[in-house]
Amino acid sequence: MKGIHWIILTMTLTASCKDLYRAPVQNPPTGYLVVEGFINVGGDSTKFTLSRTTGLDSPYIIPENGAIVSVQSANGSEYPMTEIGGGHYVLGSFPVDLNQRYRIYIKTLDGKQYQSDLADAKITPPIDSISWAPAGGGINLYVSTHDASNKSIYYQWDYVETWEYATPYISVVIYLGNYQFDRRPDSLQFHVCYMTDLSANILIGSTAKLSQDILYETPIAFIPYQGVNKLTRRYSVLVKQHVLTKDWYEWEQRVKKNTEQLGSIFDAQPSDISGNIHNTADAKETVIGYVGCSSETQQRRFIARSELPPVSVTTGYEDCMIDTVKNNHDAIAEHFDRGMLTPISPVYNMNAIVAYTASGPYCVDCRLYGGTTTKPDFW
Amino acid sequence: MRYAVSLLMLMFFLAWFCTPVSAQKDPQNLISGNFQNLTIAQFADEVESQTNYYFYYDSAALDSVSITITADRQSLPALLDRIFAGTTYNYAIDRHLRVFLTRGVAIQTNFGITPAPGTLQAEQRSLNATEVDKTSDEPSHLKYALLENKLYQIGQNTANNGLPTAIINGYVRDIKTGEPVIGASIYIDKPHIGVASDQYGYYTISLPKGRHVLNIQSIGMKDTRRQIQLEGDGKLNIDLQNQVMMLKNVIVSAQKLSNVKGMEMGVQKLDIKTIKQVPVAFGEADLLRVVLTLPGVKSVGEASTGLNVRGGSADQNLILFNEATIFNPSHFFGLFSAFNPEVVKDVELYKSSIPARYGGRLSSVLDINSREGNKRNITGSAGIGLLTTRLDIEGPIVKDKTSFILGGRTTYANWLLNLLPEQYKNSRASFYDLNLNIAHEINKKNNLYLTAYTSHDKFNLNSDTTYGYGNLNFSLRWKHVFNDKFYGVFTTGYDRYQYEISSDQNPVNAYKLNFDINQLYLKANFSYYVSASHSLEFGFNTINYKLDPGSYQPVGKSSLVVPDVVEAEHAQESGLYLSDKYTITPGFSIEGGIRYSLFNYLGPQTVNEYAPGLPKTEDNIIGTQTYGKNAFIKNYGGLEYRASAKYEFSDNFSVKAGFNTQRQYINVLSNTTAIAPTDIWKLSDPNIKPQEGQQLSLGLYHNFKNNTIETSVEVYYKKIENYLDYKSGAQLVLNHHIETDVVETKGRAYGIEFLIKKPTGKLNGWISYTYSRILLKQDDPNAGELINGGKEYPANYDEPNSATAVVNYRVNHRFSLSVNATYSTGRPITLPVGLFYYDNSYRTLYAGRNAYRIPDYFRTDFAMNIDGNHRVHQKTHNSWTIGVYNVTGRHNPYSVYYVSENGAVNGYKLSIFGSAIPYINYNIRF
Repeated sequence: MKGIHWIILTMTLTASCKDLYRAPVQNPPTGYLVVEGFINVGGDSTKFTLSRTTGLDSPYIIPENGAIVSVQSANGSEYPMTEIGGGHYVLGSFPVDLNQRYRIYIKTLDGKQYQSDLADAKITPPIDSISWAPAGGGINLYVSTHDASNKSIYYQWDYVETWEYATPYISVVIYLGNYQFDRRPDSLQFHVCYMTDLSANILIGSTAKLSQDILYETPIAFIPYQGVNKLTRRYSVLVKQHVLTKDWYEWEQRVKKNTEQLGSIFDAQPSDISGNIHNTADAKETVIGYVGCSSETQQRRFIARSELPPVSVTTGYEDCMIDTVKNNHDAIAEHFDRGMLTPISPVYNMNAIVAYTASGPYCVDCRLYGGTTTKPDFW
Repeated sequence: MRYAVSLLMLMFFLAWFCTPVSAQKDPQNLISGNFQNLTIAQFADEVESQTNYYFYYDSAALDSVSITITADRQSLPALLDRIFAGTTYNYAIDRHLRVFLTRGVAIQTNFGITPAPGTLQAEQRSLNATEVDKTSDEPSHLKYALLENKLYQIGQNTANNGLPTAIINGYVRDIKTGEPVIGASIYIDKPHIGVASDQYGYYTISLPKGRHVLNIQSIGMKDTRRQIQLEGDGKLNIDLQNQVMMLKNVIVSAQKLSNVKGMEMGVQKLDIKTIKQVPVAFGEADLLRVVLTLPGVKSVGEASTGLNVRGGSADQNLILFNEATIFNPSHFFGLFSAFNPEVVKDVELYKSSIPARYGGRLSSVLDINSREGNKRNITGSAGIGLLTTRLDIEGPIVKDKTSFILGGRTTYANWLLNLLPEQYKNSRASFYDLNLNIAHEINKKNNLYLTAYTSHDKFNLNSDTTYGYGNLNFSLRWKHVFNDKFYGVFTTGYDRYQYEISSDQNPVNAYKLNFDINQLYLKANFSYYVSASHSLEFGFNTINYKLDPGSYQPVGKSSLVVPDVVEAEHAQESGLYLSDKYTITPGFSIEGGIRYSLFNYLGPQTVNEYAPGLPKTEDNIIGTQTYGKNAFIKNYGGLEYRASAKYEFSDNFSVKAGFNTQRQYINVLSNTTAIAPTDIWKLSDPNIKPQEGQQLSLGLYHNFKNNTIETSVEVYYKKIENYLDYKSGAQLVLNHHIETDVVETKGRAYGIEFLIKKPTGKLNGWISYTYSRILLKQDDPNAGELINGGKEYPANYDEPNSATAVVNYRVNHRFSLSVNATYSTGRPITLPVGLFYYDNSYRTLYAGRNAYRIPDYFRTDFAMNIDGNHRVHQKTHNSWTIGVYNVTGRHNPYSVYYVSENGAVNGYKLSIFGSAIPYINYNIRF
C-alpha cells in the first residue's frame, strides 16, 4: 500500500487546518554518528558523508571531519578513502570482486571505531526510460526499469534536475558608472540562467509483489506549473538508480515513513532507525545509516516547454515592469548609480538617446534568482 | 363481544326475563374443541357457533380471562365449571339459553321460583380452581382512565401453594405504536418493591398476594397505575401513553429506577432522545460521539470514533447492534458513526461489571438496541443535513403482531470534494447504511426479531487507489417464555466485515487487496426468576470465525502482480455462563457470575514454530507445522469471574463494588494511532496469546432532591496481559508471519470518575470529570526489542484529565437549547529528539515512545432544536436542528508532527476542525 496521502485531503475537506508548530521540547544535542553513502561496485567512485545528529533547534549539519574511513572486503582487503572536507570521503574505483562481500570501516577522531555489516554486491540494471505525463497542476516524472534475471527487486533513485530559465528582458546596454553606457558584451549577458537541484526525498521501489522484475512508470517526482520556474523553458533530469537488498530497502522505507510520510489521520508510529552500522565496542550506540554495495546506472531526460500542454507556468518574474530613466545625470544617478534599476536598452529620439528603459536588477539579471549563466556541458 | 351489554342493563333486563335453566343437557348444545389462549369474546364466538347459546357479559370485567381448555362433547355448564373453577367469575344460564358472565356477583336467573335442591349449587356456584392462564391484554380502544380504575384479578385464589407472594410478568408497550417500552419502572408503594422492564419491554415482579396499586413510569411516557388483586402468578401487559405534550414538568418520583438502587455499576444508558439533543459536527445525531461524553470513555481525536474505555484500546469493545457484532462502527474516515439515529432506540455501555452473558472483549460492551416498528400504523421520517440524508419507514405487517422498520442513510459529500483545489477534483467519497428490523409476535409466549444491517464506505481521494469497506449483519432472535418465572432468548446470526483496496492506474502494478472477517454465532440466554430476591441467568454462546487476513490479486491482463493470499484463519469461541443475583436484605444484594470461555484455533492452517526462549523473528523460525481441516491447533480458555455487590445505606445512598475478569481472542492489528478502515483483525493463535484483563472497581452513588439529581464516584484498577504493541517498522498487511512484528506488553490502568447527572426536567444534562491513566510495559528481552528500555510508557490514548458537560435547556415546548463542552489532556505522542541530514534533507530522529503530549483539547458546541407545532392530528411533524460545532473555532490539535519538506524539517499541529462548523438539519415525520 502506498502511503495514505488521501488523508491530507480529508483534512482539507473537513475544514481542517495545519498550523506551524514548535513543540516546547528541550533536547540535549545527541551527536550520533550519521553515515550516508554506499559502496559503489560498478567501477565509479564511492562517496561517503559523515555527520552528527543535532538538537531539534539547531538545524546545521555538523560534518564529521578527520575520520579514517575505508572500504573493507570480507577476505581482508582494505581500500582507504580520502577525506575531501565537509565530512566527505571518497574512493576512486577499486578492484571489485562481485562474489565478495564488503563493508565500511570508520575510526572517528575521538577514537571510536565503527563498521557496517558485510553486504553482498548488487549489480544494477540500466534505466529503461524516464517518462512524464501531465497530472493535476503539473507533471509527474516516472522511471521504468527491469531486470530480466529477476534478481534486483529493490530499487532506489536519486536525481539531479537542471533547468533553464530567463528574465523577461534582455539587457543590451551596460552602465559603466560615471554616466557612461556601453553595449553589453555577450560574456556579461545574464538573460538566460541554469539552476540545479537535488532530490530531497527517499525514492524507492520494489517488485517483490510482481511476477517479473519490472517497474513500469514508478513516479519519482512531481513538478508543479505554479510556484517554481522549472518548466518555463527547458528542463532536464538525471536519474541515478541503484539496487538494494531487502534489508537495506526496509531501512530506507522506515526512514521515509518516519520523516516524510507524516501528517495524516492514520500516521504510523515513528520507528527505530538504527541501520547496519555499529560501534565495534558498544553495540548499543545509536548509529544512523545503512551501508550497502551496489553499482549505479543513470539516464538523462529533457523536457522542453513546447512539449507541455498550453498551461501558464510560474516564471517568478510576474511582477516585473519596465521603467524609463531619462538620459540626464540626475535621473541616471538616482536610478543606476545606486543600482536601483538595471538598464535594458536606449530610447532614441531623432538619433539621440533620450532615455533608457530599465527594470529592477532582479528582473534583468537571472543570476539574482539563484542560477548561473554557465551552460552545463550536457545541455 | 358483539353482545356485550353493561352489567347494569343486564341486571335490569334479567329482572324481567328470568327462567330456570333447563336445556343444558340438550345434545345439540354440546361443545367440542381444543381452545388455546382464547379471550372470552373468542370463546363466546366459538360456543355460539357450535350451540344455540348466547353470551352476555361486560367486556371490561372479563377481559382478564384467558381460556385454555379441551372439550369433547361437553355441556356448557360443565365446561364453564371447569373454566371458572377457583376464580371469582360466575355464570348463569337462563331458559332462553342466554349465558350471563359476571365477576363477584352471581346472577339470579330464576327469580320467584324456588330452586330445586341441588339446582342452586349446580347453577350458581362461585366457581373455583382453574388451569386457566390469565392474561389481561388491554384493548387500545378502552379509555385509559378506565384501565387505571379497573381492578385486575391476577392468578387464582385457590390453587394456593401456600406462598405469600406471587409473580406477575408481562410486557410494557407504547399504546400508539405497540413498541416495547424499555426501562419502564414498575413498582408498588407499600412495601417498596420495584423492577424495570428489559430490552423487550418484559418485566417480572414478585409481590405479596392481595390488593395493590401497581405504578408504572417511564421517561417520556405518561405515568399510569393498575389496580390489581393478586391471587397467584399471572400476566399483566401494560400499555403506556406517550407524553405528547408536557404541560407541567413531571415530578420525578423517588421510585424511578435509579443508579442508587440498581445492581449495575459502571453502566451508562442513553436513549435516543438524549443522543439527539447533543450537538455534533454536521448535525447528524451520532451515538458514538455522545457515548464519548461519558466518564471513562475517550478517543484519540475527532477523526476517530474508536472508543477507549477505561484504558482499553478501541478493539477491546464489543459493539453489539441487536446482538450482531459491528466490527467497524464508523463512516467517512471515522467522522461519523455507522448507526442510523432513527432506528436506534437506546444504547447501553457496560464498562465495569460486564454481565456474564457477554464475553470476548476486555474493556466494555456497547449494547445498541434498535426500535421495533410501529405495530399499528405506517409512519416514517426523513432528514436532510449538509452531508447526509436519510429516510425511515415503519409500520405493521400484521397489525399488533408484526411490524417492520426500514431505515437508510446516504451521503452526498461529493459536492464538498468538488470545492477543493484542482488536484483533489477527482476525489470521491460515499457511504450508505441500511437497516431492516422485523418484530413478530407469534403468540403471548413467543416473539421473533429479525435484524438486518449493512453499511458501506467507498472513497478515492485523488490517488489512483480506491478504498472500500463495509459491514453486513443478520440476526434472528427468538424469545420464548417458558412460564412466569422462566424465559429464554435464542439468537443466531452472521456478521461480516470486509474491506478492499484497489488500484488500476498503473497496468503493470494493478492490484486488488481484500480482507474479510466472518462469524456465525448461536447464543442462548435464559433468565430464571426464582423469587423476588433471587434470580438466575445462564446460557451459552458460540462463535465460528473465518477470517481472510489478506488476498492480493492482479487486476487486468497486463498486471504482473503475483497473487498473494494469506491463509484463512478458523476458530471457534464458546462461552458457558451462570450468573446469580441474590438480595440478602432489601438494601444488600450480591451478584456472582462465572463464565467458562473456550477458544479453539482450528485448521486448516500452517503454523510457524519458533525456537523457544528466543525473540520471534524470521531467523528464529525452526519449522512449520501443517494442520488439516478442523484440527484443534491450539486451545485457550478458562474461567472468568464476575462479582458485584451493592449496599444501600439509605434510599438515596449506596455503595457498590465489582470485580471481573475477561479474555479476548481477537485483536485489531494497527500501528496507527486512530483506527484506520484498513486495519486488520487477527485471531489468537499458537504464537499470539489471547489478551487477559482484570478489573476491580468501587463506586459511591448518592441522589439528591427526590432522585432528580444523581451523583456518583467510581474508581477502578485494571490489569491487562498480552496487550499487543508493534515493533519498529511493523508490516501488518499481507504478513505471513505477523507474530514477528508484534510484541506482547503488559498494561495497567486506573482512574476515578465523577458524574453529576440530572436526567429530566426543563434543565437537564450531565457533568463528568475523569482522572485516568493507562500505562504499558514491554520488559521481556526475549520478546524482541524493549520499548523505552523496558520502562512503562503511556498508551496512545492516555489522557489523564478530562471533563465534559452536556446541558440541555427546554425554553418551551417547541424550542430547546443544548450546549456541550469537552476538555481533555492532550494525548501522548512521540516527538523527535534531534535532527540529522540524509539524502539531501534534514530528517528527524525519534526516541522515547509517547514521551510527550500534544496540546490540550477543548471544544464547545451549541445547538438549537426547533419543533413545528405539536398538534397530534396532522399529516407531518417537522423540526429543525441548527447548531455550531466548535463554537470557539479553537484549533484543537489532532496530532503534532514533524515532516521533511524540500530539505527542511517543519513541525505542524494538525486540527481536524480548524474553525467553527455551523450546520442545519431538517427532519420530517409522517
